[in-house]
Order: sequence, then structure tokens, then C-alpha cells
Amino acid sequence: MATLIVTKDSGGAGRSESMTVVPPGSEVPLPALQALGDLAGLKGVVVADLISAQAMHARVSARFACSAAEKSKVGELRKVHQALINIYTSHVAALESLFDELELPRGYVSPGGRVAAFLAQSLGQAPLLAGSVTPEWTELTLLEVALALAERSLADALALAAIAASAQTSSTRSALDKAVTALAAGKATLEGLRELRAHCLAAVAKSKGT
Amino acid sequence: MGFNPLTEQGIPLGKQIRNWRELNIQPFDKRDVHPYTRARVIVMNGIEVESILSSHQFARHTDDWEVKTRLALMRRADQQQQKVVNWLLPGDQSVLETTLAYEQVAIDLTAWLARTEPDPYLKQVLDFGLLEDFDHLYRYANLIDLIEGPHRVTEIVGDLTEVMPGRPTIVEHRHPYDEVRRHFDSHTVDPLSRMHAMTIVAAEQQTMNFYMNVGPMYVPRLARGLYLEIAEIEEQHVTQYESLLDPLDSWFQRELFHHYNECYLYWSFMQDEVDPRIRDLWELHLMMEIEHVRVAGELLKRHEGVDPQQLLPAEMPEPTRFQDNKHYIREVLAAQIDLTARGTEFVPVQSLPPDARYFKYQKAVNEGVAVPSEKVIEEHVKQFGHDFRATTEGPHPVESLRSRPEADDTEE
Ligand SMILES: [Fe+2]
Ligand SMILES: [Fe+2]
Ligand SMILES: [Fe+2]
Ligand SMILES: [Fe+2]
Repeated sequence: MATLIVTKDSGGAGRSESMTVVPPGSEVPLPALQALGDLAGLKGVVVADLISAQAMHARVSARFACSAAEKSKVGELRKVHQALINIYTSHVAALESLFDELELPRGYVSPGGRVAAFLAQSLGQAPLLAGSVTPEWTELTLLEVALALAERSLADALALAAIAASAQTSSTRSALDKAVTALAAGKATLEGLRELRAHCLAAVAKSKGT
Repeated sequence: MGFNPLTEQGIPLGKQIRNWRELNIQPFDKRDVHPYTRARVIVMNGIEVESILSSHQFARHTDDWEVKTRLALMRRADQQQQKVVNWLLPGDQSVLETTLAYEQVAIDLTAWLARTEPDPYLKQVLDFGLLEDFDHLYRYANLIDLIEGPHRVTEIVGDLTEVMPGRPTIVEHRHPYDEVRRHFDSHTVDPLSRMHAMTIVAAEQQTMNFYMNVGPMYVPRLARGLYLEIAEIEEQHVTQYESLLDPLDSWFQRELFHHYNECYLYWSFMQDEVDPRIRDLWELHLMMEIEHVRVAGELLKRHEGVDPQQLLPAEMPEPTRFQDNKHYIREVLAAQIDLTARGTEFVPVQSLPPDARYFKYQKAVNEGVAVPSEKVIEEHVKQFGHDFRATTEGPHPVESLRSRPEADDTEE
């Protein structure tokens, strides 16, 4: 089961940086982070940071897709947003399983994870300007945000694959490989968003009216 | 099973608007109101004001008709709540009397929050602020004695809060960089810590705003000076406490947390309220807030795909209470009187290097001039032969701050 909202109650854990406070009981100790990289010849802290960032991106993206699916009034687009919910939820599940295998808490939100969440959340704020555009453009805005989130998600999968490929044979390496395979789910849909946007914009440009 | 507003039925938003007669409520009698009833009134006013201002800020970041109108409707209800709550204060309560009550709130609220705060860093921040507001009560108590005559202090604070020096106001003036603190992380924060931080921000912010506005209403230069000096510390306190909030939270999440905190505090205060009429008011407002939580949750769900049930705790934490904190405060006084801040951390003032920015700031504001918070004690000693204190638990826990009738007893 994927957790889309990480809170203390849902098992949130973290690592404090200069400006953050993580309660002592929820702090993931540095040695635990380092250990996962040692076997594979990688910097464990950085790998965990990246996984957390990808998980947070997928969580916010899944939530945005829920909101977009509810708001969209175009059947075809609503279906796309609904498909994205499932894709991102499966990504969250894959990354949480990866944390399981690396013996880190599933709800680990690293400093980089916080920033990834903020970035994705900020993209999701675009519809707050719905009053400035036509309903048609509001629909396009949902698609624009979905596309921006998808681009990052595809790039994330690529980055994780590169890290896995550079890892030495180890349990960490096989866990990473497994996650890379799982993250391929929905790739075609994510990549298809560019085309879909072009198609929608072309249709709007051709439509009658002002 | 504890209390969870998401599973309760509130008053529909459309039925929350009250008429002028309902809003213009009979104030309490300042002579027989319980000091902690007055304290609860002041806290809830600060909480409503913060919620309203936050909603205004949110409204300035969107032009979505549905979001803007929902916010406007909830905000109007919160505005009406604020009127009823603050209009409980009687017109014959002087500005200085209200000021004493504000500092009593700052003391006993902060002490309770610190005592129950689960996170060690946040607790340290609260303890640090506690000793400063504790000193403000002492300075204002001496001022009111000089300006409005004797007995006013105990009429307001009762014997629930002791009046004696805390960390002397003169040494509280620090460089702005040393007021910024670290913040909690939304993914790991205890729900109680979040509410503590939101509550203390609201309380300190209203104290800051109050002094900013009422400070010049007095004629004597000493009174005007003391208000502006302490208003500057309240600015420091707001800077300190607002630093605790996680900037990662979105507008919709903040909106939900604000109404949830309103709910939590009305629910808390309802349990201890001794005035039945005011208890009924807390209950009425709780019923309204249950609906605010529901509507803010609906907005969060629709616009961010977040289920409020997953963001909020399954039940409310232990209630926030006004209680006598005399012993706790004495312990903190004894252990932490010498602390100052350096960046985000707290250190003994003696450990600062001579070129620390703290000393530069101290010099910039204090050097070569009469410092109002010191002057007020000198004036009191001059007029009455001693400073004003109200203690019930023995001598001051810090020896250097014990009474010395002929001298200003707060020198560093
Ligand atoms: Fe309210
Ligand atoms: Fe104060
Ligand atoms: Fe304060
Ligand atoms: Fe409210």
C-alpha cells in the first residue's frame, strides 16, 4: 500500500538540516543511510536522498492527478488523469518497497525529498489562477501541470537507472534494479502527454468562437 | 475514542452569520471575571485574528472564484467570532490592565505549551520566550502602579501568576539575525507541536499588534517608551515563533490547519471554562469551526487531492489548559536566566565573544540613554521606596534578581 500523505502518524521519518527540526525518534541515523551505499560503492546518503525525492515527487503527482481527475470536464482528459493516479501510486509503492529492501523507513522524507515535494506542489498551484483564463484554458492548465510532473518523473526513472547501473553487484544493486523495472510502468502514458498537449492545443486553436 | 472534528456535525456555513444584537455581546465584569477566563478570551481573539489574516493572504494568491468565495464566507464567520470574543472585554478595563492580561496570557500559555511540548528544540524555544514575557509583566506592573495607582495588578492577574523579574528586558534586545529559529518538518512533526507553534505565533502576533497600536495612547513619556521597547521584543518573539512553522505547507493545508487549531482551542477551553455563558460561546464557536474544518478539508481534497483525514490526527491531542505554572517558571528561571540566542541556538550570554553582534545591537539601542524598562523600576523605587512584586512562593530563584529596595535590581 502506497502512502500518499506522509505524516508522523503514517510513519514519517527524516533527517534534519541546518533549518529543520526532526524529533529525535523520527530521525534516520546517518550510519543507516551510509550503510546502504557502502555495499554498492555509492554514497548512501545521496542515494537515499534521491529515492526520497522521487517518492515525494510521485506522491504529490498522484495527489495532483486526483485533483485534476475530479476537476476535468473533458471525458478523454479525465481518463488520462485517472490513469496517472494509478501510475504514480504504483511508483510510490515501488519506491517504498525499495526503502523496505534497503532497511529504511518507507516514510523517509530527506532534505532533498522536501524540496522535490515543494517543487511539485508549486507546479500544482497553477490552477489557483483559474479566474484569469477561460474554462477551456483551465482544462489545458491541468494538462500542462500533468505534463511538467510527467517530465520530471521520466527524468527520475532515467536517473535511478543510471545510478543502478553504476552500482557494484550487491543487495543494494539488485533492489535498485528491481525499482527501475517497476518505475517503467506507465512510461508510454507519461511520454504520450507531450503529444496529447499538442493535439489539445491544436484543437483549441481551430475551434470556433473567440 | 477522542474528539475528531471530521466525524462531527457542525453548523452549516450559511447559518453562521449573526446579527448586530447577537454580536454586540454583554462584556464580562472585570472585577469578578476569572483571570484565566480573561486569558482564554485574549487567546481566542489572537487565534481568530491570525486565521482571518492568513485567509486574507491566501485570497491574495488566487483568483479562482470558488476558492475566493469559500474563503470569504468562512472568513466572515471568523470575523464575527472575533468580534464576539474580543467584545467580551469591558470598556472600563484600561489599556494597561489589558496589557497586564496580555502578558499573563503570554506567560501561562507559553509555560503550558513548554511543559507539554514533545519536541526538545521547540520546548527550548518556548522556555526561552517564557522568561522574557515573564519580565514584561513585571515592568508593566510597575508602570501601572505609577500611572493608575495601587492594587490594579492583583485585580487583573489574581494570585495565579507571580510578578517579579524574568530575563531583564534590557538584555532581551538582540540582533534580528539571532531571532530566527529552525522549523519543524511537516512529515515528522507531532500534531500537538504543530498546534503549539501555531498558537504561540497567533498569541505573540496579537500582542505585537496591540502594543504597536496602543503604545502611543498614553501621555507620560515613560509609558510611551516602555510600550515601544516591549513592542520591539514582541517583534522578536513573532520572528522567533513564526520560524517554527514549516514553509513547505501549501495554502490549502494552512487553511485547514488554522480552522483545525481554532477547533482544538475552543474544544480545549470549553472543558475548563468556569463562566457558563462564555462556555456556551466556546461551544457555539466549536460547532462553527467543525464546519470550517469540513469546508477547508473539501477545498484541500478538490484542489490538491489530499484527504484531510490523512493529514489530520485521528483524534485531538490532550487539551491546552490555563493552570498555575509558578513552580515550572521558577525552575526555568533558575536554569535559563543567562541564556541568549546565537543564530538558531541558545547559549549562555557569557559564552559570546566580545565582538558578537549581540553586543553591537545592545550598544546601538541601550548605550547612553535611559532604557524605559529600567527607568520604570527606578521611578517606582523613587516614589514608593521599592519595586512592585507579587510573589507567593518565596524569594526569587535567581539571587541577583532579589529585591534590593534602593537599587535597580535588574542590572546585568
Ligand atoms: Fe474561528
Ligand atoms: Fe511580552
Ligand atoms: Fe512575547
Ligand atoms: Fe474558522
